[in-house]
Amino acid sequence: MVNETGFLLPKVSRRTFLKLIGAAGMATAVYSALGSGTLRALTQSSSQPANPSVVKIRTAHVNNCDGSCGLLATVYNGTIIKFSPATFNDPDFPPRICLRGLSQVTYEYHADRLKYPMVQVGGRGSGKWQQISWDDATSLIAQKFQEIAAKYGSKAIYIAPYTGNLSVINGLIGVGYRFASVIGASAGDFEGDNEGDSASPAGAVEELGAFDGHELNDLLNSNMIVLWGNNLAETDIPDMRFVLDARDNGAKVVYIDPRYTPTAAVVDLWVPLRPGTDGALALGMMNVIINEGLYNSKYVLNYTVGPFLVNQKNMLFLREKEVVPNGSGKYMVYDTITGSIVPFDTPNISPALTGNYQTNNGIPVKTAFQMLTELVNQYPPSTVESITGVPADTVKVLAEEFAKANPAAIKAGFGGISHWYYGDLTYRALITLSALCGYIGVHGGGVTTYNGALLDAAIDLTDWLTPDGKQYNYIPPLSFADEVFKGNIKAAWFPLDNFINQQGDANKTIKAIQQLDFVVVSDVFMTPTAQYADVLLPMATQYEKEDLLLGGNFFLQYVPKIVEPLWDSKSDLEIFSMVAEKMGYGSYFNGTAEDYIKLVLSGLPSGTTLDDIKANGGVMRLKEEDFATASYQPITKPYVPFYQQNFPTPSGRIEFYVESVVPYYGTGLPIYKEPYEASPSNPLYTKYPFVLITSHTRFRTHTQWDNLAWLLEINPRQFVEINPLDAVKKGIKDGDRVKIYNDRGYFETVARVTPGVRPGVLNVYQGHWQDFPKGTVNMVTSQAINPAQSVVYLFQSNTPYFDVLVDIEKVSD
Amino acid sequence: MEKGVLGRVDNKIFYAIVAVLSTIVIVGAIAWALEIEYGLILTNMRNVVSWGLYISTFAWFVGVSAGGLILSSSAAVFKIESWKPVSKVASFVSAVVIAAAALIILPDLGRPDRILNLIIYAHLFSPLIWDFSIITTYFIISTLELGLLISADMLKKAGNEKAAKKREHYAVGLAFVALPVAIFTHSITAWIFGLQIARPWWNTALLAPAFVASALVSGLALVLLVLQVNSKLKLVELKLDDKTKALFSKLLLVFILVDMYLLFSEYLTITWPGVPSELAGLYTMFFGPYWYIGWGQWILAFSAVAILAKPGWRTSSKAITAASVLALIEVFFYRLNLVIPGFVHPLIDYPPGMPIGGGVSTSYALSGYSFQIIGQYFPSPIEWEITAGFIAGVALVILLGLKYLPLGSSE
Amino acid sequence: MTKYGMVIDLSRCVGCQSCAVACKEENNEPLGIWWNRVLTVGGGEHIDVPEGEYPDLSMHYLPLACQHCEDAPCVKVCPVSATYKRKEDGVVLVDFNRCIGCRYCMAACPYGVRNFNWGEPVYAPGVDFPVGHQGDHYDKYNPDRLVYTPKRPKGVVEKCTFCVQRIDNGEVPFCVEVCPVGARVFGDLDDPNSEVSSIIRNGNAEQLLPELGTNPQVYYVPPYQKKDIIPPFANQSSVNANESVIAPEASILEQAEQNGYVPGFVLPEKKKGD
Repeated sequence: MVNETGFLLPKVSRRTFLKLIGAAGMATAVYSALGSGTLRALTQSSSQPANPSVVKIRTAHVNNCDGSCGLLATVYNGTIIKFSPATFNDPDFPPRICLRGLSQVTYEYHADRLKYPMVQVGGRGSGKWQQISWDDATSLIAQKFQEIAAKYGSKAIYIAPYTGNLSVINGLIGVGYRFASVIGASAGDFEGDNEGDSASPAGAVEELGAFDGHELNDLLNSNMIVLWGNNLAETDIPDMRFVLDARDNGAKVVYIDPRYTPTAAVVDLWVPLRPGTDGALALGMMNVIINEGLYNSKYVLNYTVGPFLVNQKNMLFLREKEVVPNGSGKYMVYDTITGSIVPFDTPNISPALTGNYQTNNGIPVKTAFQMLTELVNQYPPSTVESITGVPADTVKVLAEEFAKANPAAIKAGFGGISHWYYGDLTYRALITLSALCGYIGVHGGGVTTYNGALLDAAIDLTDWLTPDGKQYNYIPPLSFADEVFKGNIKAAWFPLDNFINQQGDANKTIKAIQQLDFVVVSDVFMTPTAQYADVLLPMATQYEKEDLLLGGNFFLQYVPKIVEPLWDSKSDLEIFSMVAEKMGYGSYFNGTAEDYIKLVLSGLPSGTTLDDIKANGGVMRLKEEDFATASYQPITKPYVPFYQQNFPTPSGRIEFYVESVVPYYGTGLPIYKEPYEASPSNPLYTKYPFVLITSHTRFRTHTQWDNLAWLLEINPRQFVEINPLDAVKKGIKDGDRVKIYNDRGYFETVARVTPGVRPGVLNVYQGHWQDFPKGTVNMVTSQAINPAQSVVYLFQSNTPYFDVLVDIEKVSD
Repeated sequence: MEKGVLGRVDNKIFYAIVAVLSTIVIVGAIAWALEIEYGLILTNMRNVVSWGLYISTFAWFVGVSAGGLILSSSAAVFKIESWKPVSKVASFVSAVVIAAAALIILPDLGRPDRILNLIIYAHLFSPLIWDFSIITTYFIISTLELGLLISADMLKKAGNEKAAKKREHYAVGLAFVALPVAIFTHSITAWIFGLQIARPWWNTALLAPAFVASALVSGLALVLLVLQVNSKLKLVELKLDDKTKALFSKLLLVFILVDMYLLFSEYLTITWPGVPSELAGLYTMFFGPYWYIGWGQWILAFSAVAILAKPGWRTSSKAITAASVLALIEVFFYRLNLVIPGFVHPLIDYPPGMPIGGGVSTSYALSGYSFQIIGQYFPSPIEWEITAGFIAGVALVILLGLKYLPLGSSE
Repeated sequence: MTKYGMVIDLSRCVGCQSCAVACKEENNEPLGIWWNRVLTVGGGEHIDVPEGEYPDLSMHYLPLACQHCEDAPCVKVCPVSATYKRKEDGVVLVDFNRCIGCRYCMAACPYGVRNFNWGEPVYAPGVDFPVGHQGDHYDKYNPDRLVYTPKRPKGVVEKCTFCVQRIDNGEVPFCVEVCPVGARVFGDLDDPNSEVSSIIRNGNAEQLLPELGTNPQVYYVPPYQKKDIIPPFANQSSVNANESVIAPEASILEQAEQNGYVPGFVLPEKKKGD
């Protein structure tokens, strides 16, 4: 063919041809003048070594992302050269990966990885480091800890593992806590307060008895999906597949968010609203549903506290003993048949769902549902429109569609719902909305923020995290700074926890850290937190240490050690073991990672072992009996919490009226409150008229991956999204350097003028740390703790990252 | 007036110019060596604007060269005796410049070491192969023409009238071939661009005629310039009467006007319907970052026209020099205005844009320059140096040729 | 005859860039080179920026790589046929050993999908070994053509090959394997039973720049057509979202008081945690 063969000398190879003219010095002179490229070209052939070893090893991505993807690592002659999506051996759960998982090679072999232990000889933040040996480093830590324990008590040492790694041994529920327990130190929690992720769980525990979520392929059973404050297409890309499949099957998909994001591009309806007003929207929808009689009255009657009577004097549920001497603590209802107030479990009654009543001894009471109705009646669509900016017609239609969808699912975001001071109330409003329609505990319904084995696996961490009954002293990360200022914390250790960059009110955090006597950081990179260490230890990546992942899906995923730790890095287990040994607690750290994984798994009712998981290809779906919720509900596939309506609440029902928060809110209803700070009703608003939200980008997982080359090529810099109208008023053009500030601090970034962000709102993607401190968004956020959350043991405090007012101005170069 | 091959002329200015040109050539050679070592990353061409100064200069060289040969072959074909004195110079200039055109492709290639692939694997459907073939042919014809004319002269001097006449006869015959070849050379060069549907700014049937017209402009201008330089430096004796000189000037004027007419037609065809993808190139040319080249081309053209329009000036050497220089630069600007705006606005231009290309430094790639929506290009120092080296080289060879080769008019 | 083609569903694409990064990994692309990129069709000059005025906005994404055109301009212009279309399956490939780096194909491609190695390739800091497919790959049907090499020579052109090193072994291109939302389908356009053929047959897929006559083998399902849930925002809300809310909204506080509920803010002095 003319296209593919030489035209002049078709049969003659290049070598022969060159030999023909090679005799003439001219040719060689020309070629040498043109460089040796020719010789390279001539001799270019497969430069593959003979018999390379190629293995494919399955692991899982342990970063704090709901995807919890299975990764297949290809190891070529001992080097990981590729990551691809790994199978879950489950026809309902396709392999998954995203741009971050695909970039892991550039992470594992990153040139900037910390290589050896160092001490900061010039003082914290000086950047003057001196290399020391592991032996010296761990001895120094042990010695310092012992000194501090002797002087102030061991609780003055604060160990802070966090969500850099969600796995069992080296991560979120890992060896750091064991260490803290064993040496009697204090430790934070792992329930998300340092991420703003505990307000929604608090609300869920209050109202439903547990924070749990539907398995996300359950969305295929929904006729309507509401992505509420959840930019799912960017924050949990593989699970968006289920939404799109449902959508293409006819489900209506609604997305509620002040911003127009990639999610908005592929849904049926994007509902923009004022940030932080989601609770009002939910109440408005409930208004329509109740007033148009679209609620499932039977469900409300039987599975919620709707018919329970509330004592209007103390705003608590009426108990039998209040009306009957020597009565029990039973809840009371008004029986319409006999017209009397009786215990709820009286047989053959017809409890009223609504109404104002009075007990025989003169206590005014209302049914909880009556109170709810009165609450939502303050939120007709027109009022909701003025609060949220959502047109009244939309509120009405949305409510009707939601109620008629049968079922409709709410997939809520941590960011949009929980990163607010009153996130607990908002989440409860969403749950109440769903409950009104009878969608809790049914396939295709529910309110889900997170799901997976991390929430539901029936593992027993007692022996792992608190061996021999030793228990660390619990100090939530949000209380860290105040405890330091009070003198209760004198030393801290941050293993893969970019605390300074991510905690609210960075100035306060730094001030607290500077007051410590001793700071240890173990990490993979020189993060802002690492910059404040006295001793900095290089940590091995997840691909260099054995572990087990229980993540955002229902699969137990084995995380093998694929390659040896690079440079002189070590795994968390090894590091903590070394220090513990030197402090005299080595006996608690004699096991290998495998030993401890087996210890954690040993509590599983099914008896599944690590070997079982390995034999199944390194991944195994949680067996039914291994769900923690199996003790009180049947386990279905896809997993649905509260199936068959078993709620581990005090009443055993959905408590849209929660007694425990009455002291804080004056009522147990999921009322709407204007955002704590980020509200136009805040006098501060005249000074700082912008709401700053800091949402989650797909180019990072919180702070991780901020320095990966491939991602930086597409997303090179941090920026603030500002609406063109605001930009004009502030004299800011696209690309201008700007300063964002309030009374707590300031940070600088670059302006991106986009109509996709609501006027009056600024958005900066959180997690950027490479421009610390000038570019750190948390310089302006707060550590305000909502005391109402203290009623929930597991989720006592929450960083309100979005509840922030700022102003913005151009910085002249 | 001394002349020719074995004559020595004490001309300080001449040697000074030679020295300057040689320096530029050497600088260009060093730059080229650097480019071979490090690759085209030393230029400022990137994926979006992937052709720049080199290709523009190439197209300019081809046009300049074609003009020279069209002139000398027209003298033979149309039997214009008064033009014959400049035939040798015109052929010589033509050969030198076309050689430069072929050679300036080399610094633009990513793999110049594979240049022979053009022969081994030539793809006959490709306009580049057509151009490669016709340029080679053109070079051979120019050189042959020059050789025939020179040998005819020398034979005449030696007294061999019969052989000389035979040579002249061949030269005339060759001229009949040379003329269409010259026209096709620049048409094919135009078709390299004009056939590309991906570049609306190039994709017009008028491109070949416009290139031929501008070839006539630049080719004639260069010959005129060479004649001026020659008479200033007293290198070769050429018997040109004033009438011919005036005719050349008139021809230059006419060629410029024709060229302007063709371009005007092109611009009208773009602006009147106003199709955005087609307007992009025109907009970039006049209002983009290099608007001064866009407007410059027309200012230069009008200036040249203004100078040549005055009949009294057409024989003034100052005026002819000025007009020739203006015309040469104007055509050079035309080539730039064609090549670069054709790349600046890709047909699909959504963010983040096109990637920039491999070989950029890490810090560059990771600071937000990995993609470009609109092409950004300004030649780098290496490109200027190499291009200047080639232009200086052409000037140098022409000067040396005028001095040492028997290019004078025959007695 | 096989004719490999791809269908990309723009109604599902969420612009996550995973396919772009996947391609980068599989084919060891140097910094500055992207065979596959995901474009934002919206307003403005940045990714993820929609067009319109808040809240009337729209945006969709466009993944773009070599279209493997039936009538490929790049194949026509290559002077040495380093770029060629193999007749067995219609994939357009570049021979790394033959390309002379003239970049004519880059001028000829209307889609702008070709990349050039302007200098010695530079990779992610620390990654000093080839990632993705290891070893050279020669065209299965024309074994003298080097159509993939992880060790990029400087001075040659490269582009999407439909992962020739994978499809020659019966796998699909890597971008198709990784798309997290399942927006890509790959198959034989000449096989009437293949998924790509049936999507195209349903009339639901379009080509890019069809008026140019390149006849790409990559098709696109158009962006999502929303279901009608509510009528479009006919009237603006009373809190005018289209005006910058720089001035304090006293009206909110007023309305709150009118409606008889207690607004949420607590006076600064009483706030806890300060």
